[in-house]
Order: sequence, then C-alpha cells, then structure tokens
Amino acid sequence: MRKVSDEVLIVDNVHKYFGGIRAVDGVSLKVPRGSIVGLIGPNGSGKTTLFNTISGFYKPNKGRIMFDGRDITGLPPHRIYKLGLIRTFQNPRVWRSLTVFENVLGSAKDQRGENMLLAMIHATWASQEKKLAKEALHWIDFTGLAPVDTRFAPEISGGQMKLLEVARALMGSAKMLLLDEPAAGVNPVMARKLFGGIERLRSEMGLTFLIVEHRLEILFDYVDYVYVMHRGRIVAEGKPEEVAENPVVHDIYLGG
Amino acid sequence: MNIISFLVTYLSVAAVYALLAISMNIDYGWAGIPDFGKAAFIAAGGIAAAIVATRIVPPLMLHMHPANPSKLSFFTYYNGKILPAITAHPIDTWIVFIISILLGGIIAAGFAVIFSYPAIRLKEDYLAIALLMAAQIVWLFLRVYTPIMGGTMSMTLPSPSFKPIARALFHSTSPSAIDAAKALFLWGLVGVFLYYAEKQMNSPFGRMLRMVRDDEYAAAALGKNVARARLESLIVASFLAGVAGAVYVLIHFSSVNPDYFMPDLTFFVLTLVLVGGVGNNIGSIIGALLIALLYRASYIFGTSLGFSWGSYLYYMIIGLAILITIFVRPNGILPEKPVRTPAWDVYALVRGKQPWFLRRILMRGRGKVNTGEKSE
Ligand SMILES: Nc1ncnc2c1ncn2[C@@H]1O[C@H](COP(=O)(O)OP(=O)(O)O)[C@@H](O)[C@H]1O
Ligand SMILES: [Mg+2]
Repeated sequence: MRKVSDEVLIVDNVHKYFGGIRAVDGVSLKVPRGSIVGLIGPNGSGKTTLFNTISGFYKPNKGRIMFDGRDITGLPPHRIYKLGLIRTFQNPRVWRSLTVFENVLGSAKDQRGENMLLAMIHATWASQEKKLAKEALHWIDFTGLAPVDTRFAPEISGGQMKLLEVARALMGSAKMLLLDEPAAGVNPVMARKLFGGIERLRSEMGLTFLIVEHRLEILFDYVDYVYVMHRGRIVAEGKPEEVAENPVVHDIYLGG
Repeated sequence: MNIISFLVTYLSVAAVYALLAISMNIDYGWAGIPDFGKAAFIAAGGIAAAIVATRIVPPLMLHMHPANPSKLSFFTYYNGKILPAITAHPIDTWIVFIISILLGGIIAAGFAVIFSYPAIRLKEDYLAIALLMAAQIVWLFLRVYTPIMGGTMSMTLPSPSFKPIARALFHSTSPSAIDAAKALFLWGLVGVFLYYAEKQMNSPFGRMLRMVRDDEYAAAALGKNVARARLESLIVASFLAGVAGAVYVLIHFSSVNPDYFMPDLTFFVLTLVLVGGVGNNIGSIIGALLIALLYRASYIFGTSLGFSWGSYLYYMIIGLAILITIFVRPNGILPEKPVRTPAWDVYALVRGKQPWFLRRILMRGRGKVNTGEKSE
C-alpha cells in the first residue's frame, strides 16, 4: 500500500551545485494536494534550477524529493512525467516542425502508436489517436489557442508559446504542474484568464500547482501559499498577504 | 554508348543509392541523429554476403566444406568449386541473396546497438563522433582481418540471376533484357523501402522522433524516452542500411572489398538526402536519381576529356550541387511533409475546416471528410 499523504510534493533539503555555485542550497517545501502554491524570488535565486531538479533534469547533490508518496529523487524526466508531475519551461521549448495542434496531441500519455512495431499496424492505434485528437482540441480551446492551432509552433507569439506549454502539460494527464513563469510575455488580460483557468482546473479536476511568477500583483490573487527564494534558499513563506507584508521580501526585491 | 543501356545502368545505380538514402533519411532526417557511421551499417550487408557465400551456403546447401578467405587455397577452392556450384542454379543465387539481406539487416541492427551504446545518452555531437569512429574501425578491421572477406583482395560474389525474370517479362535473355529486369527489381525494392518508411513515419512514432529531434528537453519533459527513441530509429535505419549493403555488393558490384565501405561513403549518402530533402522520403529518392545522373554523366564526360584529372570531375560537380542546394533550396528539393495520422480527420470534423497544407491530401482518396464547408 502506498501512503497517500496530504502533501503531494515534498522537497526535503535539496541541494544543487554547479561547480562552486550553490544554485539550490538546502530547499525544503511542501505542496498540499489540490493547492496553488507560488514560488517567487529575484532573478538568479535558483527557482528554475529547483524546477529542473524536481522534474528530473538535474540530479540533486543532496536531498530527497517525494511525489504522491513515491521517492522520485534521480528518476529521469520521462518517468516523472508518467507519474503525473509535469513541468513547463521558462523559455518556451516548442517542436518547430509540428503544428500547435500536434504539439498538444503529441504530449499525450501512453500512445500505442509510439511503439515502433505497433506504429506499423494502423488498427492498433488509430482509434486512440482519434480520441486523443478530440482531447487535444479541448485543451487548445481551454487555453485559447484555437485561432492558431494549425500554425507551425515557431510562427506563434511568445505569449502563445507559454500557453502552448500549459496546454501540452494538461494533455499529459498531469496530477500536478510545475509552471515556470507561465504569464511572462502574456498580456495582462490573457494572464488573468490563464490564472482563472488554473483556478478552474484546481477546483474542477483537483490539480495541484507550483508556480514561479514574477508578476506578483496577478499571482497573489490566486495562490494559497507562497515560498520566497533568495540565493538558493527559502527565506520566507506564508499566505500571500503575509508575504506581501514581510520586510525580508521587500529587502530582497528592492536591495537585491 | 547506347542511350538505352546508359539509362538502364543509370537507373540500377540510382535505385541502389535510393535504398541507402531512405535509410539515411530515417535516422538523420526524422530523428536528427547525425549518423556518421552509415558506412559501417552498409558494410554489415557486405559482411553478411561474404559469410553467406563462403560459410553458410556451401555446407548447408551444396554439401561442400566452408571456404576460409584467409587461406592461400581460398581462390582455387572458392572461385573454382563453390561459385560455379552456386551459379549453376538461379534459385541458389536467390537463396544467397535472401539470406544475405536478412543477415545483413540483423548484423547492422546489432552494430547500431553496440556502436551507439557509449554515446546514445549524450549530446548529438558525441554520438556523431562515436559513429564516425565506428565506421573507421569497421573499415580498417575488414582490411586487416582476412577471414571475413579476404582483406583487400576483392572477393567475387554470386549475383542473383535475373535471367528467369528477364525471360518471364521480356521473353528474352539478352544482356539488355537482363539489365532491364535488374533495374525493375531494384526499383521494386525501392518501392518496398518507401512503403515501409512512409508508414513508419506517418504514425505517433514518427511524430515522437520529430519531437526528439526538434527539442529533446521538451520531449523528455513530456514523457518521451529520448535515448530509446534515438536507439529505435538507429536500429530500423541500420537494418535497412544492412539490407541495402547486401544489395549493393551482390547486385551492384557482384563482389566485395572493404574499400567499398570507406567512411566517406557515409557523406556521399548524406549528400543524396541533403540535396533531395531532409525528412522527405520521396525527396531522398529524387536526390539519389539526380546525384546518380550527375555522377554517371560527369564520370563519362570527365574520362572522355583525356586529362588525368578527368575522372575526378564528378567531385567538383557534386560539390557544386551541394552548394546550389544550400543557397537555392536550403531544405532540399522536396522539403519535409507534415506527419499524417487520423488525428487530422478528427480535426477537420470538429473544426469544420482543414489546414491548408493537408487540404489536398485529405480531399484525395480515403480521408473523405464531410466538413460541411464548401472548398474555398
Ligand atoms: N546549467 C547551469 N550551469 C551553471 N550555472 C547555472 C546553471 N543553471 C543555473 N545556473 C546558475 O544558478 C543560479 C540560479 O539560476 P536559476 O535557477 O535560473 O534562477 P531563477 O530561475 O530563480 O532566475 C544562477 O546563478 C545561475 O547563473
Ligand atoms: Mg528562472
């Protein structure tokens, strides 16, 4: 029996160094199931490195990461994806020879036709492919990408690429999403719509979110809890209104 | 020189190049693996043909002792006894051919696993260098290790006999009828490769390879096992390269020599794909047709000039072809096509429109979809 705790993600004293740089220097945090948690901090404080470590792109020098009751420390990214923990990239990474529709569709889990041999037998995967195509269109509509869904991915705007990142993660049947600056480059109206969508996903599907975002005025309206990172460490945490009042946070953002 | 015989020979050569190009298009074109070891995988076909002709067919089918190419008595025994015994029956030459292409494919697939193992998880550059070194090692090994194909002596191989095919098709066994039968057979084989490649490519598997090629980090984050996808594409491409290699030695040369598989063969095959269109199977075939024509024509013209360097003219011509491609059509003569799966039928149904680049393909034939929309 797997122990299902209330905390879907537990990061326990994680360290990640690049040579002498301690990019992540003993971070511990917990994300309760079905919550929206913010992770803020000035540039270079180690937020992206932490995401890369949680999602399996880097192996931590020290520390442990638990997801959904399982130890995922050191697992490769595609295994972590299969468990339902999916990350997006701060600088969008799209598949340039595929359309927006295919970028979303191709991110689906357990596609039978991705098996080299079954791919040759159309009947084994065609009906699944059709089902997934409908689902892909649903997420495209959800993220507002419908007007550009037959464009090749490099032809859409930077803001649309950020939305595409989110649509792909949703297509991957995520239980929890790690979003790295999802609203960067997205106009304020779209950004609020995006966060509104995130809130709906949480309330309707029970998804959990850990979100890095620099636009605090938007972020703080939607998150339950906030962690503040500085120089690789968590220096403050709390409800958004508490963090907003915290003098430490003011010092970091103003003093650097 | 007779134009018909030029054309028939040219078409046979082009067909062999097309087989090699399709293989290159799978790992280099779709998966973006810089397969600088292609010559080694083609060599696997040569190794297979040599082993089949000397050691497998004689004891199994002819009740003769196997021949060892490293022995002094090899040529008298192999050329004097074994070859005449195989070529006495056209059926036996075809058995040699079929076993050789299968074994060639299997050896090449095995090579792919072994040679890519050290570098498949690393960045593409390391894989490219590892594969380039593998091709160099295989070539040099075949030169010095004589028991496989006798070192650099050039061993004659029993070509499959096209007489029965020529007789059936043209009611003639004249040399030109035989050559035509050979060209037809080779283009049939190109058809098989093309059918396979198109089917494999227009599937979620083909789409996954493009994801890995376009951005391996995004592919990994969205659940693709990048190392495994690369390995799989290398295995299928190498299997085809091994098959094509056996065809190359048995039908194109009727002999085998390690120098047929010098590492620069890889870059010749790469040229076919670069000129024809990276990622497009038909483009690869067009590249093969074009480069084979330039090759034959410039070789014949060059040698007729009477200069000592005349036979090298084709290097210049092919270099020029690459340059013109890069400047005029950087994606090759035929650029890559979108992946076609039934997902686009669903798209058309739900959205009531088809994307411009698929409209033509879907309207033709099977993918008839009532879009409830007049064609614009
Ligand atoms: N691959 C890397 N190699 C070396 N240093 C890195 C690497 N990635 C990040 N860093 C360094 O780690 C620190 C944290 O960076 P990052 O995680 O991107 O911060 P943030 O996302 O909070 O802006 C920075 O000093 C950055 O230069
Ligand atoms: Mg960052």
